[in-house]
Amino acid sequence: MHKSTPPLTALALLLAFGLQVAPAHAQLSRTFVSAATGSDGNNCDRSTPCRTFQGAHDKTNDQGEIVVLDPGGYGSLTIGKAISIVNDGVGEASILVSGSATGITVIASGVSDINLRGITVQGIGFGGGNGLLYTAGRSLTITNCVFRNLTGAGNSGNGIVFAPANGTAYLAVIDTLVADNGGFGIEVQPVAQMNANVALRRVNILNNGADGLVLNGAQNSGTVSAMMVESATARNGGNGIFIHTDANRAAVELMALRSTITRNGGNAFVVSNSPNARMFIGQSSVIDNAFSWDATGGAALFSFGDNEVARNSGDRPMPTAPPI
Amino acid sequence: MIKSTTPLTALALLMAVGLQATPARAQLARTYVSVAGNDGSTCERPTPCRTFQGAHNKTADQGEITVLDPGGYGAVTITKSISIINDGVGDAGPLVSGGATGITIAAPPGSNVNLRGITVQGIGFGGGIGILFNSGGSLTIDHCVVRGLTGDGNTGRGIVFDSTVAGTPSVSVLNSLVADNAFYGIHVLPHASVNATLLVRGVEMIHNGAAGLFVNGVAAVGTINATMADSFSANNEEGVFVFSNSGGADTHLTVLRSALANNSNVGLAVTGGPNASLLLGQTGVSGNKVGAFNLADGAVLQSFGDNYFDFGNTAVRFAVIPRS
Repeated sequence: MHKSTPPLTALALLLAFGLQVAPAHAQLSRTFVSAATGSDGNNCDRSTPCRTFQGAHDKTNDQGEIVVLDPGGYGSLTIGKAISIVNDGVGEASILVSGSATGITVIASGVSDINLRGITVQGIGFGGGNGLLYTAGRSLTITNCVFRNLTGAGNSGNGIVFAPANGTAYLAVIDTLVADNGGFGIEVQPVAQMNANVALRRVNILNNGADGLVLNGAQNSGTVSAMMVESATARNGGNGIFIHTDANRAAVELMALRSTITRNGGNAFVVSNSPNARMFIGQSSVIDNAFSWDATGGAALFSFGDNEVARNSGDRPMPTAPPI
Repeated sequence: MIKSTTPLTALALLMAVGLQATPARAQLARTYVSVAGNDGSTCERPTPCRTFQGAHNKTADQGEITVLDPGGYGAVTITKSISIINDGVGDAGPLVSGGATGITIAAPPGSNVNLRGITVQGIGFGGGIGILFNSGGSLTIDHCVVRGLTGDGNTGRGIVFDSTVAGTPSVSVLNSLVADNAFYGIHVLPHASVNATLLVRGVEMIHNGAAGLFVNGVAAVGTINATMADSFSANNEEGVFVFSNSGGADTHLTVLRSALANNSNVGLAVTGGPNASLLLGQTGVSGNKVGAFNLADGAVLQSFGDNYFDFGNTAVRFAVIPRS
């Protein structure tokens, strides 16, 4: 190991090649975790992996990546930098949640982009907790993950809570299951002056105790803008989708396309409680919910006229906006 | 080892069943890479190579490189027909820094290149380009992730289709994530006389600093035909952008069954003149600062009349092609 500082270009070349130049105490740009052979006393390199996500996170460069090597539990973590955690099919890599804890907490800087792939966050009772809580950062992209069985009282029991506190934040959830949680499936509730942008694709929000998808602008004064495609909210105890804001609070908008809303215990979807709340829905099926749609307080609902709505109590035509 | 020349049919048979007929120093049709490998090896199954480049150089034209285990395999320049496959053994692929490029395709016309299951991850330190197509017949990118590329605009791009050789190049991006790049997610910018084809299907372009997909014909002559289907371009600056001028290629993009959401500038834009055209069908456009944009410069914006726009976008005038 050379202790002298390598020239930047040589360093960059080596990094590009995937070989790590590690001066004493330096962090790696790609680290590894193994439940079978890892130890957090290691440097988290390929042949000497760490044991936990937190251990690896703390030894990974900003903008770096943590690679899961084998199945097992990797513990809860708090993310404080731009990082990507990837399990690409080596077996279940999970975080068990209990005791009102949170599986993954994101509190990063305003230029931090965070990526999670192939991670299972599983509540196991014993006081439960939340699956994921995002309060600061720039963007979070979740693909091929599972958030389920989070339980607990108060603010616990939610699958994904996206509650950024300032600036503009971006959430994308793709190919992910959010199920069997005691509270909300996915709750988007920014606080303060905040613009939240949400993209959901092929997300299944199933069998949660409260509402499936919540977009709440009542705690902030910016905007909440969401699009949901090819997704489902089904058999949740509350509403399939709940969109809410108050007068003089953030404008909240959802467009739902090619999605399925079925067997929810409340309304299929509710848009409330001011004209700042609006929802557009197209090519979707709204069937067998306890109650049909509702729009209150001047909130706007527009159908593109090509949805399949049936077998919900209180079904009636939706206002329509023509496709163009 | 038989040193005499094997009859061609027998050789083909052996290769077809995965057995290598290898005269001295001949290249293999299937090679392997492992983080336990060594580029001094033959790259056969029990003696894998260490890097993509090492294996590439020892693989016969039309051959395949198989990834054996998770880790970094370095940047690679591809100069022949080849397939690099990671079929779920764990996260594998190059880290990119120092203004370098993760995977460069500089192959002869007629060559076909296939990439599957590869992660190309920018790690800062000067950034770079994720995947760059310079020359070749076709490139197929399936189940890959290209994210976090930073840089100055030349760098900072995820996937670049920059054909520098005249011909009929084709790039397909399938079932992949292109996210968090500082500039364009997918950038089509040929510099030659081409009849070029781009297919983007099942792709999420998320939170890139410029357009999620930019099809630019200004540096080429001939035609560029691009199709984006069943894809999601969200949280970028522009969702999709098409540009060409009177000296450029006839440049067209069709967007089908896709979603363009929360883009900070515009959902879809086509400008430059009559050589630039965009056709939209069954696509949702929501939460963008501006939904659709075309200058009064002759650029063509067409619709099948079945797209879903939210408020603020209904003033857009599409030339409607009726469905039949």
